[in-house]
Amino acid sequence: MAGIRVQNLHKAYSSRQGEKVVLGGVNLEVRDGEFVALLGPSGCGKSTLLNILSGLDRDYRGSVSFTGVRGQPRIGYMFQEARLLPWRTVRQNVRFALDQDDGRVEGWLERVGLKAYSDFYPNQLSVGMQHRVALARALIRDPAVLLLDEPFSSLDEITAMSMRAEVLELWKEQQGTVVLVTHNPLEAVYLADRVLVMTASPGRIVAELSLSEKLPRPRDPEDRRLWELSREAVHLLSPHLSKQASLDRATGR
Amino acid sequence: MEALPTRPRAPSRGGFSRGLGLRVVSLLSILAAWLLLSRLMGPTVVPGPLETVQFAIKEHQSGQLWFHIGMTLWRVLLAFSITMVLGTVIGVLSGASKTLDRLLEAWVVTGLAVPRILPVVVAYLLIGLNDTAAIVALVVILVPQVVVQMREAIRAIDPKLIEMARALHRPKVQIWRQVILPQLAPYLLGTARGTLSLSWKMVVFAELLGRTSGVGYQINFYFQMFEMRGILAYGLAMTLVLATVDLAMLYLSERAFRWRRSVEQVI
Repeated sequence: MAGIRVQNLHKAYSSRQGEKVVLGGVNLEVRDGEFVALLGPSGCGKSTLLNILSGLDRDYRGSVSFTGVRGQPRIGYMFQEARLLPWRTVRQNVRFALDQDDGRVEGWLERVGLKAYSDFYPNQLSVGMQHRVALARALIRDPAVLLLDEPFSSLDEITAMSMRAEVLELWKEQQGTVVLVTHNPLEAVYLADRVLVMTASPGRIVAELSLSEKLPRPRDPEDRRLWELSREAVHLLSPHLSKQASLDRATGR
Repeated sequence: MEALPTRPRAPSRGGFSRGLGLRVVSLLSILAAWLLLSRLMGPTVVPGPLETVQFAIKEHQSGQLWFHIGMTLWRVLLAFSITMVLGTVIGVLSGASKTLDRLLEAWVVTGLAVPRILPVVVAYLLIGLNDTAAIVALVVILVPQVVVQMREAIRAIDPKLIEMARALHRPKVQIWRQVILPQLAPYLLGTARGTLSLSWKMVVFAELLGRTSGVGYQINFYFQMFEMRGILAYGLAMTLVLATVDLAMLYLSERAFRWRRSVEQVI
C-alpha cells in the first residue's frame, strides 16, 4: 500500500514555438488507500501528471515520492482506450500484466464477468467488455497505486455506469490508492474521496473538494447530492475558466 | 449499447481448410487450360501434362532432376536468407531513424527502379561467372523491397500499446516478444513470401545467363535442343517445389493471424 507525495512539480515541453509549460508547480498529497479524482479541462496536464506518477515520464522538475513503500510501488494503469493486444486472447491479455502465471487469471476473469470469453480475441468483444479486460489486467497486479486516465470517457453512459460501480466494488476489496483523471464532474464526485480541481496553462491544482463526510459510502449514482456536489466542483473550476477564456481573448488565441 | 454475443462462440480456427473445394477448382482450371493449349498447338510445340511428367520421371531416373533442383534451391535459400536478414536490419533501422532513411533513399529508389537483370550481368562481369556473383546480384535485386516493407512495418507500430506495456512495468524482453514482434510479423511473413517467389524467378535467370547447373541452366540447355518437354518438366518440377513452400508459408501465416477479423466478416 502506498501514499503519494508530489511537491512543486514542473514539467515543460520544448517545441519549435518555444517552451510550453504543462505543469507549473503541482503539489499533491494522496493518503494510502484514498480515491482521488483530478478534475479539469482538457490540456490541463492531467495525463502528463499520471505519466509522471507511473514512472513513464522521468523528465520533470520537483519531487515525486511514495510513502509506505520502498522505491516504486506496483502500478496499475487504465487508459481511455482498452489498449489490449489484439493477437492475444482475453486470458493472455490479463496474463500479460504478470511476471509469471500464478493461477489467478481465471479468478479475475470471473470477477469482471468474462470467464466465458477467456478464449476470445479482443476484436470479438464489445468496447465495454474490452474495458473490463483492461480493468482485470490493471488490477491483477495487486497495484498499490491504480492510475485511471479517463477510462470511462470512450464508453456509452450505460456501460460507463456499470464500469464505475465495478471499479468501486473492486477498489473496496483491494484497498489500494487510486488516482482518477477525468473531465466529468459527476463521475469525479461519485467515485472519489476527494476531488482536486486543475486548470490549464500552466496546469496546477487550484481547489479541492472533500467528499468523505458530505457523501458517505456506499453512494447511490442517483443521489441528488451528487448533482449538487458536481455543480460545486464546476463552480470551483469556473472562475479559472473565465479567467483563462479572457486571457485567451486578450492574447488572440 | 452494443449487442453482446448471446452465447460465447470459440474463435474460429483453421481458415486454411475452409474453401478447399474452390482451391481444387482453381488448380484444375490450370490443368485444363494447359491441356487445351496442348491440343490446340500440338504436343511437339506444347507437350501436355502427361508427356511433361513422363519426361520429368526420365530425368529423375537419370538423377539429373534432383541435382539441378537442389542446386537452384540452395541458391534460392542462400539469397533469400541473406536478403531477409540484411533487408530487415536496414529496414528496421531506417524506419527508426529519419537520418538513415534519407541517406538511403537514393539507394532504395535506384534499387527498385533498376531493371532486375542488370545487377546479374554486372556482377558476372565484375566478379566472374560463379555462385558468389550470382548470390551478390540476387541480394542487390531483392534487398530494396524488403527494406521498404520493413520500414513501413516499424512505422506502423502502435506506440500506445508500447506505452501500455511500459505503464504496467513490463520487462523489455516481454515488450519485444509480445508487443513489437507480433506487429512486425504480418509484414515479415508477407515480405518473406514475396521475396522467396521473386528470388526463385531471378535465380533461374542468373543460372540461365552464367551458371553450369540448376534449373535455369537445364532450361537453357533444352532450349538449345528445342526440347520443349525438358523446359516444361523443369519448370513444372520447380514450380511444384516452390508452390509447396509458399502454401506452407500461407498456412503458417493464417494460423498466426487468426486473431484478425477477416475481411469477409466485416463486409
